[in-house]
Amino acid sequence: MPEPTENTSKIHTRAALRSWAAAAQREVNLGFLCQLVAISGWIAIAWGIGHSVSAIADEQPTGTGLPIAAAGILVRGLANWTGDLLLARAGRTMVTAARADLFAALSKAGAGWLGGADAGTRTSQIIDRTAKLEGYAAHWLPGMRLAVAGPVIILVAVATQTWLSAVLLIVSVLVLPLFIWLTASETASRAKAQQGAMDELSGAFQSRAAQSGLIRAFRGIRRETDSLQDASLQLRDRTMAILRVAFLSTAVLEFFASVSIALVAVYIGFKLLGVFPFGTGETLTLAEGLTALILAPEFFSPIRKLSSLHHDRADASAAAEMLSDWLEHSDDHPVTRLSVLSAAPVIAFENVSLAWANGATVVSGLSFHAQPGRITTLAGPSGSGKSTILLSLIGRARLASGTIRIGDHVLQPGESLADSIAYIGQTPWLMEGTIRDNIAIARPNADENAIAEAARQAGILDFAGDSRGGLNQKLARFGAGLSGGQRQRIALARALLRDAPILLMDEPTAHLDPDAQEDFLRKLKELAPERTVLIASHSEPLIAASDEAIPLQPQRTREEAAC
Amino acid sequence: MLKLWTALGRPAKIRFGLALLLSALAGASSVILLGLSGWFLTAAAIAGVSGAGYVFNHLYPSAGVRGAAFSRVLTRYGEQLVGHDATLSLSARLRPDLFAASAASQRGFTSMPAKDLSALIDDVDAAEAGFLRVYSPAAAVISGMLVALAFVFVSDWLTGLIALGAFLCSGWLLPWLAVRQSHQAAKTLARQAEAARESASRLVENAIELDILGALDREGAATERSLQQQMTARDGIEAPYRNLGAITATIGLALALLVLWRAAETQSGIAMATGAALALMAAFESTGAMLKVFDARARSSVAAEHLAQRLSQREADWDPPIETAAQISGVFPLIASGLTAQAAPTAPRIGPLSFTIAPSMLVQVIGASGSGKTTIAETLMRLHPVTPGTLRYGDVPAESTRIASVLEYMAISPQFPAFLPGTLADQLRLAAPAATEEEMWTALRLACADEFVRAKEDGLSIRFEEGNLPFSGGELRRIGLARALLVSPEILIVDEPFAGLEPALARRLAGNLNQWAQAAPRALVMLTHKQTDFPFEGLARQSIRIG
Repeated sequence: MPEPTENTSKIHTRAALRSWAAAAQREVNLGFLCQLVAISGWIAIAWGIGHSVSAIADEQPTGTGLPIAAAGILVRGLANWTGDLLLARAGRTMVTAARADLFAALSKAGAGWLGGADAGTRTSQIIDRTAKLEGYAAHWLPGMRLAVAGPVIILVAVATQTWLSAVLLIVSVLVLPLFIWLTASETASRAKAQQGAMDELSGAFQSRAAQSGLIRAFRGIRRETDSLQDASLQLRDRTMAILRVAFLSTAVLEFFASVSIALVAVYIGFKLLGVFPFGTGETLTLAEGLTALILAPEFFSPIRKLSSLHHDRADASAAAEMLSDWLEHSDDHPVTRLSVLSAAPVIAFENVSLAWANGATVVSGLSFHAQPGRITTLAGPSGSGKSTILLSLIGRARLASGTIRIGDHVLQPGESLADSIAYIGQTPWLMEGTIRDNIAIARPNADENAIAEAARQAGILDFAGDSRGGLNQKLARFGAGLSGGQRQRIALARALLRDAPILLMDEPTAHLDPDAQEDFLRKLKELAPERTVLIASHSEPLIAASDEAIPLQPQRTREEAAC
Repeated sequence: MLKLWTALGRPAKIRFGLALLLSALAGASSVILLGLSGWFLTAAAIAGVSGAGYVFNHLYPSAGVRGAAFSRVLTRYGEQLVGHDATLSLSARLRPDLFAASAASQRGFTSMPAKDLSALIDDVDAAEAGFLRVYSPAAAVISGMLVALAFVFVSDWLTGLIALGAFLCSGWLLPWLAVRQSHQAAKTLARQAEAARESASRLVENAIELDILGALDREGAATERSLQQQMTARDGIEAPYRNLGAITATIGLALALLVLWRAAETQSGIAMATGAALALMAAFESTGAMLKVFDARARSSVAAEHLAQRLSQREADWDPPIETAAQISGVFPLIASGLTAQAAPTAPRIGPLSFTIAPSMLVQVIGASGSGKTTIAETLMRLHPVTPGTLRYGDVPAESTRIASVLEYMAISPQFPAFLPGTLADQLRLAAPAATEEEMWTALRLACADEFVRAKEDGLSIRFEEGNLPFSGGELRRIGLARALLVSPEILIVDEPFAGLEPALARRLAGNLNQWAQAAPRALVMLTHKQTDFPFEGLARQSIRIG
């Protein structure tokens, strides 16, 4: 597989952002429209106040000035409120669209697609990474347009009142990019170094706080406190040196915003007094001057928000890059479910290499035979590809080389033995409902007697006696309140009910206390005779209890593997 | 937050004060810029119309306008710099102090659970951001508002009173209500969010099982739905802010019109009224920041409270004051009689146990995992209080010695040792800061850890990173042993030293430990699940069974 170049990954990132933002397009457009309406409200306010003040100064009735300003206030308030509402919704729509893509990929590519990272990381990618996209639709998209459209509209409005003030505003905003560029290019690289130093300090504090007991046991409190303090003070000095420059770019923006407002005010004031020394070709009234003055701050307000918008965009791009890369690797192999095997088969791996969806090797050159009636354990630390080996039996892992034989049948890519497999993981999937419902999902058409018999054999009646409703006892969400042992008995009951010739297990004793573990191993021995049992585990008692253990080595890191 | 700051000895006092002042000046300058401009324009127009243009003193007002503009830029820049400097100085005091306090007052030496650690880090971040997010913006809003109110009061006292009332409402009461409402919504939603997250994480954990059962589509869709519902419901958190933002801006503008309308009614002081109107518009524009202030304040003050609580206990409560503590020059003979140990005040009691540890002894503490062997070891090292029962080092009762002085003579090699980020040499220097390379190699050799370290290219400078340790579990345990040996303790506690070792290696390690224990007045305490098979000739053996 060719390595994705930086360019193609950028294209994918952009395409992903575009497609998710498209879902929110309508809300973004409407929200932006509302912001434009709010700006016109501001123009009405400025015009109204300008004209009413001018009328009052001339000792005339205020006329339409005050009512128009009042209407402007109402329009602005309503438009801003509606705009905020729509844009907040746009952000959420975009996040939901990205999640929809992830779930679609999961249902298409199956469990194997989640491999390559631990469950916690994957969960946080599904929830937290996608959440970072919110600002893209809610702030960046409308904000960028407003940063262009807003100043232009205000500028036109100012120009209709006094063209020279409009020129003053233009000049100030034209000089701006130059200054921002001057300071920004200087700070960008330093800011990165600064972030590095900051992370390092956080890391230093975090690891010391986490291991404070250990440090004390070696009488190192004073030493480590001092070194933390030194690091903090150094960081402060380093940070301040950068901030002095970094804040300059905001200061420059502030400078031009403030000074151009002041210049406009002074110019108009002098003009009205009749003391402005140069001819400007325009005669100014108080109404025009005041309108222009009130409009001036609004000219800068969308530009000021630009730097925070860039954060939104950077966050969203980083998230989109990761997510689109992940989605890129959702193989679309149709899975064929093979019909149920009539007897427990020999499962033979012959020089098998397996890869993750992104091409990285997980298992290489693995050979073993799992015999019917025996317990075969794949023994190795996490990261040695145990789960991927199990996934290869349900068509969810990429077979890079070698042969997997089920009896006489050579397992083809995409062929799944799922219907011949009962599976027990660390903790079973438990849903809201009765214990009976939870057992029955292993074989939805099972009759009442079969379920009751499976429950009895698994020892569920020990904790779900008649007094507590027996199999009708309701389980809370995700089986809250059940012990690890009780959960695994439900898993056992499922396996018994499914009555499949192959039994796969992935770290089944991870959450069991010693007693429950012993109990589980006893039940496992009872299950083994008519089945081919293949277990992935690094638990020593479990390895000791199995008939055969296949040692697995952790794979080299992904970078090395890719070479 | 003040309590935390006081507990830290008020660091960066002057800088915090200066930042507040600059922030207030920046807020005031923005409002003055617009208010003064409005007044100047109108007054200039009136003077110009009446032909008094050259009589009107235009220099002071126009200088004032420019002055306000410059002052706004400079004060804001200064406030940002000084504020960050003060905050970083606070952090340079807070973090080391927090670490020292939590290290000194902690029971045992197990590492902090990840959940507690991340709560602590969140608290530290929130408390540190408190000044820049709460006090500094509040100072700017309040001073700006005071200036605007001054303009209004000069123009018309009645409107001034109304504006004051409106500010108290929209700057204090309403934000407070909105933040409360939003936090309540957040609290109710937190459960929903938690449930949606759990549903997603269960889906990921159980994906293989669900795939086999053919239920992955269905359950994925259910999780997607619950995430979507939670997303939609989150509007309840944002709505109060959005509503209040709109209300505040509208109130400010409406007040500006009121000022003008009053001026029209009374036909007086239109220049001042215009100034007041523009000042009000500017001041209320920034009042929206009060929402963020209240939001941050709620979070920061809870965080600061937690941290102040942590700082209030800077020493273990079973450690005697330095002045009255008894000096010891060794821990032999260590005498426990009726000793009970507890991992935490509510944990089950282990014991009572009675035994004596003298030089050249091998004491085996035997029990199943979870029976409290480590807690016993920690108690012998004074890392837990002893009650009931007594523990003595020679003639000195444990409770009258400092923890640190006992630790000079005792060290432990845990079954799963923890390490700090840094090189291998750094790990060893934790136990003996002044250790030479030669001493380190000697300790590694004793612990049978020299060969695999030598095999690494970087040797002693190989790096240990968070979540990426360069050696296997068994190798790390022996490095932990080397680290404990570098303390040169009188009593060395080793936890399951031979578990998982090949017999030949285990025999060699046992021989080394035996030799080490007899080279000086030393004793070994071994925590194991069964009697050790190795003879340890020359050591007097004693076994303590627990559980």
